[in-house]
Amino acid sequence: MIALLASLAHAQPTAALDAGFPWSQLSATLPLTERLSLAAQYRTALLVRHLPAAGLDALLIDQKWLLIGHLRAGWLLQTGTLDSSGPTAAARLTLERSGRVFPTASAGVRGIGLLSQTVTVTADDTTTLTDLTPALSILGTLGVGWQTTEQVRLDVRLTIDQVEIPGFSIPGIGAGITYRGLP
Amino acid sequence: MIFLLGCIPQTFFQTVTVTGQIQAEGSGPLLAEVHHARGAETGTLAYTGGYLETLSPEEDGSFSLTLTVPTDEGSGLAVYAWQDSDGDGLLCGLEEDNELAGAATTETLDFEMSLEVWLTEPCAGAEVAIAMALESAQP
Repeated sequence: MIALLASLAHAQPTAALDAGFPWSQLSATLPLTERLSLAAQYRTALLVRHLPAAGLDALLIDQKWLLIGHLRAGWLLQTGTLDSSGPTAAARLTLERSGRVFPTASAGVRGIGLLSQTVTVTADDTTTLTDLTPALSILGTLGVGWQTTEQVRLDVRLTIDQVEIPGFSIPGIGAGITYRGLP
Repeated sequence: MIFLLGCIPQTFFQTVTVTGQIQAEGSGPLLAEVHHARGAETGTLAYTGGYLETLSPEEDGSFSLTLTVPTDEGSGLAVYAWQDSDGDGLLCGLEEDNELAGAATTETLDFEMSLEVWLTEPCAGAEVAIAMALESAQP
């Protein structure tokens, strides 16, 4: 997502592909105004933990340094032995410097409502109880962007996308390409 | 959204009322437990037993307990019992080396079950006694 954001000031749609370990992401933005965009993303860790989400990106400061705010609402779906599922909401800030090659950093938090059901069968009936357990994840990135052309930007970055506080998640690595403008 | 809601992790339980009788020829307190007959693992990791709850048998050996069984964690049901002949709280401790134990098993899980446990095996722990009961129940 970081790779998308320098384009907000120019109010053009973007599409981006980030590939890495363990996180990869497909994302797109559509400008609503010069400072506000609709955003959609599909994020996955090794095709086991899936995080589709949509929301808004807002360009908060547009000077030598750019400060961008992100709000997302979505869903967590994790398959496998530790299967889990539930709604998510995330807020994040991205800071990056204008230029051809520039540093980027972001920090944020994601709240997850982990849903689970307990099904009890008795001789008389079957009851299903649904529980929602709150969980919190710390989000962060540190990287370098390279605006190769007016339309294409490349990024490399370290990523922290914690599964759940207080568990520790090893930082991931990734590289991304962003296309800005109409095809 | 319906697809996502359909992916919520579920844990399944069944209520079971297990009644029965422990047949013991010796004297001393009777101790008993309810187990899964078989654990959830299969193949080379398969095991017998799987503790669920402690039973409190009457002095005459009869028992009755209603419990909620997690059906994902095993199959069937077993009642394991032993007689603490020397009253030390240990199965075959230093003072007594032939305290009798036994188990009764069923491969299915019904809402109401009746089991009769015969204490015939000296010093058999739950896993061993349940394995022997399962083996003797095979056709």
